[in-house]
Amino acid sequence: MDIFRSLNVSASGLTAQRARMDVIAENIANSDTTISATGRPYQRKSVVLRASDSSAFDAMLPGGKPSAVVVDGVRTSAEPPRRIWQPEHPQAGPDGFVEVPNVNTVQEMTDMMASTRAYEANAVAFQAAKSLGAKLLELLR
Amino acid sequence: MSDLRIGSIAPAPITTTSPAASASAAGSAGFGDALARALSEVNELQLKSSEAAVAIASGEQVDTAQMIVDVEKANISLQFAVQVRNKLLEAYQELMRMQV
Amino acid sequence: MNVLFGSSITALTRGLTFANQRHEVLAQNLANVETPNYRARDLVRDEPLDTTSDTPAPLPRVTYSGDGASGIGGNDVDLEREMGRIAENTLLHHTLVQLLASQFASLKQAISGRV
Repeated sequence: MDIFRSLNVSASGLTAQRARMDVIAENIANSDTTISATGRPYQRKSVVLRASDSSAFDAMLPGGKPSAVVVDGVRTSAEPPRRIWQPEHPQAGPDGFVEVPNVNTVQEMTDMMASTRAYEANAVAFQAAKSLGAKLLELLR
Repeated sequence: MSDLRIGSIAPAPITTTSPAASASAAGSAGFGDALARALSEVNELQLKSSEAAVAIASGEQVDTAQMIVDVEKANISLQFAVQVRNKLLEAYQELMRMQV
Repeated sequence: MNVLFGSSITALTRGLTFANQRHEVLAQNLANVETPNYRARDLVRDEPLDTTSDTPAPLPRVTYSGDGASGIGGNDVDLEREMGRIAENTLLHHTLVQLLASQFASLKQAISGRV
């Protein structure tokens, strides 16, 4: 059913934005983590998103279940950590520099706002699809 | 096909394809044909409606709008056929009651 | 029985099919609002609606609807524009359903003889 497909598409958008928000929250929470499980500073993570259909009518292939956006995984930044001069820090190296996570908190907050807006937009689209289906069913009453 | 007047359903105005309604034999043959055709169309619509239900239930990719309209068309045409049948029956019974 | 159902019912149904499909395309735009290198798309009908019941409706066309000006990461989805289109499409859809409903209601009234 084309209405069901629309619901799946919007649901995939909600899922993707949730994943993004989770990762952003993790980044923010660890923005000061100088020693993580790896022994190195926390490295910023990001979500990799991919569009799964190239055209709306790809989904008309039998068995195709369009999801529209797919979370391809979480990528850990490979950039070197930031170094700041803080000789009194317990983890300061012999040169007085501390390696800290490469998380820019302001950037993360901006991303979080964008992600929230996107989530809400997908929720609106989801409700709209529901209303289209319900309206059609009214014809049969 | 000329327009079917949707006013009150009277026994007479089922349109026939034969334009000459003069000869009663020819007229009744045309009427019988028209009736048979109409009933088969009702049947087709009912079949379409069941196909739609099956397709939706089995999760196939379907055109929702078209299907719902098909289902409703089948309902309406069935109602129509039933009313026609009722009126024909009334007309027949009235004929039978006529004193000859 | 197809004399009962005029070409307006066919036209309304095709309009509804189009509205359903267009919503799916617009929903895809919103789902991919943050996907890198995704270009916004829309559904358009090339010809005006053909209301002859026998000919099947031509498939509408998916076109790129964004202005091409890249947002971040090659994505050109404008959230507000897509929301506007969804609202417009939803309104069209509801209108078509109402019109169809009133057509069916008139038919039923005429058939049952009750007003």
